[in-house]
Amino acid sequence: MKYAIFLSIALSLSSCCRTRGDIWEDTKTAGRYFGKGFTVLTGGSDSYEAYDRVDFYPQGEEYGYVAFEEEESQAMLGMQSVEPPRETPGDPGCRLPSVEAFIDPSTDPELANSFQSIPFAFDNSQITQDVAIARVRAAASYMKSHPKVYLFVEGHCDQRGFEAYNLALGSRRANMVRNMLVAEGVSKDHVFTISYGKERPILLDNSEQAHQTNRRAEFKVYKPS
Amino acid sequence: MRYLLFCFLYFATMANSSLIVPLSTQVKLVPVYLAQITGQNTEFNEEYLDKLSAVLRYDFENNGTTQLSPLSKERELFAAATYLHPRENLEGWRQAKVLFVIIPKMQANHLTVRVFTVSDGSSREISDITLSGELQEDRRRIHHAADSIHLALFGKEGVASTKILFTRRLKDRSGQMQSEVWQSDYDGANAHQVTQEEAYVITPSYIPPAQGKAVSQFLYVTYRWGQPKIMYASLKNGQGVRLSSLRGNQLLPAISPKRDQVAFISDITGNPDLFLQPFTPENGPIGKPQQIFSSPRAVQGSPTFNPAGTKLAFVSNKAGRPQIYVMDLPKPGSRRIKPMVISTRARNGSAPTWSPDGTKIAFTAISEQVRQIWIYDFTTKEERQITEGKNHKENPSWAPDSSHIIYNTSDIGSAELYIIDLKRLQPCKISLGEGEKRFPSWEPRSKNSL
Repeated sequence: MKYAIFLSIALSLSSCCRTRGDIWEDTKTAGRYFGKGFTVLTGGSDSYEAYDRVDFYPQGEEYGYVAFEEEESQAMLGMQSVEPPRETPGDPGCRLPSVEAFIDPSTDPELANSFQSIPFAFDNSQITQDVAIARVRAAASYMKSHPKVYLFVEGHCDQRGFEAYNLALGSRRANMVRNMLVAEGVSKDHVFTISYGKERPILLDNSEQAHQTNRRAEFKVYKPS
Repeated sequence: MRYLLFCFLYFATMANSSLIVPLSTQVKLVPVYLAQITGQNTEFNEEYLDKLSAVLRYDFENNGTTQLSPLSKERELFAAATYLHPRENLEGWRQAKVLFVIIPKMQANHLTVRVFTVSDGSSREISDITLSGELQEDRRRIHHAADSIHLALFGKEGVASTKILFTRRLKDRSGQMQSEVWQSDYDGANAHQVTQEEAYVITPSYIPPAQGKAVSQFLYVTYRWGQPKIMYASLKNGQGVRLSSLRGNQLLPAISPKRDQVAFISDITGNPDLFLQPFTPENGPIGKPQQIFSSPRAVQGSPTFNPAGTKLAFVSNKAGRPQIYVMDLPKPGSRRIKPMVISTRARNGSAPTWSPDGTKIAFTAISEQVRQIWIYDFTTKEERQITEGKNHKENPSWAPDSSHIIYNTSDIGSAELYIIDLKRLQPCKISLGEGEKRFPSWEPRSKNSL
């Protein structure tokens, strides 16, 4: 009986405060902090801010902003940074038309199979699912064999997230697809990104299928004549 | 022993329900009797005066300071008697536990408001305004009168004469979703479209006015050219100018209360990172934007400045889920400033906004799978949820008195604007008409404004 009471107290103290989902999230967070703590102990850091404005990264200067020091940013990011494209379609002076001239590839039989939507997990921007990787590679393959084609990658989110936060998450999803396309050999100057957050859902109901459908990156394609 | 075990098991099965924790001052509203506007020798009919009375009454009901006593014929007669012979009728008001009696009267087209202090029988004329007979304009004058009365009685200006910026999203004729910036009075009246982008516009925010001046400019984000870009515009014509020629997506701008820089999110680096752009409303952007925060594989969003313009609160999911962080702005030579997380109890936070008095941050966080409005209090270091109910709520914005918040609900296909004051915690819907109303921004005041 004593053990039963003790167990009840222990359970009540934990479950009164948090739901099961909260406990799982906290467990994951604790794991991330453990990893980050280890990184810091070994001399690294998980985030950083700009130095004095006179210390700027040449690439940042070239693209119109004052950036972190490149060597450190690459080490911390742990990935090769992808340069932005030289132009932005629709910008004054740009020879490329704006996004309205880019078509939905599903409306073109030649493009439909090569440019399918890229799915994402909830609140995640990693391209890890086999189907996602395959679709990015299919898009990359088409772009490499048609080097004059230009591409917009749109980042979208499902209806469950925050309106403001999802605008930034959509940007990250679009950029992850762009990064992978460039890594696969597509010209960085032929791929652009747009974040729509949760502003353009495909399905409007509250089902899991709708959420899964809405969490995506979509392509829009421009084939110069 | 069995009963004890049962109690433990009962509480053990209850997930932590969200508690709305009211401020300790919630019930300390000042009891006031506000009489109806009556007139003598006036061109305005009773119906018109009733409309104006309703406006004034709404302002007092929602100022977060006063508790209006119910209207009654008996009390109206009593108020009329008090107006003529104030000291002879004080006892009746004391018994009704009213501290102030406010009596507005029309004479010709002048509205005067006399306030009687029950405790000592003193009276003073606080407001004397000229009405035009045009309801839209007279509503604004009534709001100003309400704020003047609030200032005279409580030493702090009310918010009735402030305005709200927001976006209204509608399908256009071709079935495409369009979104433009609108402005209305704080109670939702006099709503009118401000931008004519004929594109998708989001996240407007007022630019604080110069000292002694009225608000005249605002920021917003437009998809006019495809990628979202930040614009600054005049409220007069709504024609925006691009803040930055930076490539890529630019989102979620916030201007410092010092009016000297704009914080925003840009993915020029390939990641949505935090940037600062030196800026003045008079001259526009100055020099290049500076990248000030990033984190590997993380999303940053929604910066907001403290009143001194020396700190930023923002969202980052660098710890695995979106949380609210606060960091000092980088100074020359500073290194390795670590942002501090403030939303520890509220799980998954977003859209922080710093109160004008610097003591609180309002934000959105998920509570039992519903997005609710929360407040982090710097003085108590506590977070508390201030809204409840099944509707999702997002994008809070502070009124200049740091006691009211506006936010939008955000259910699928439906979004409305609500204001709430921190004492009563009773949301009041202000938006009207079709379309989804979102991303509200409450008009700030200049330091010397009255």
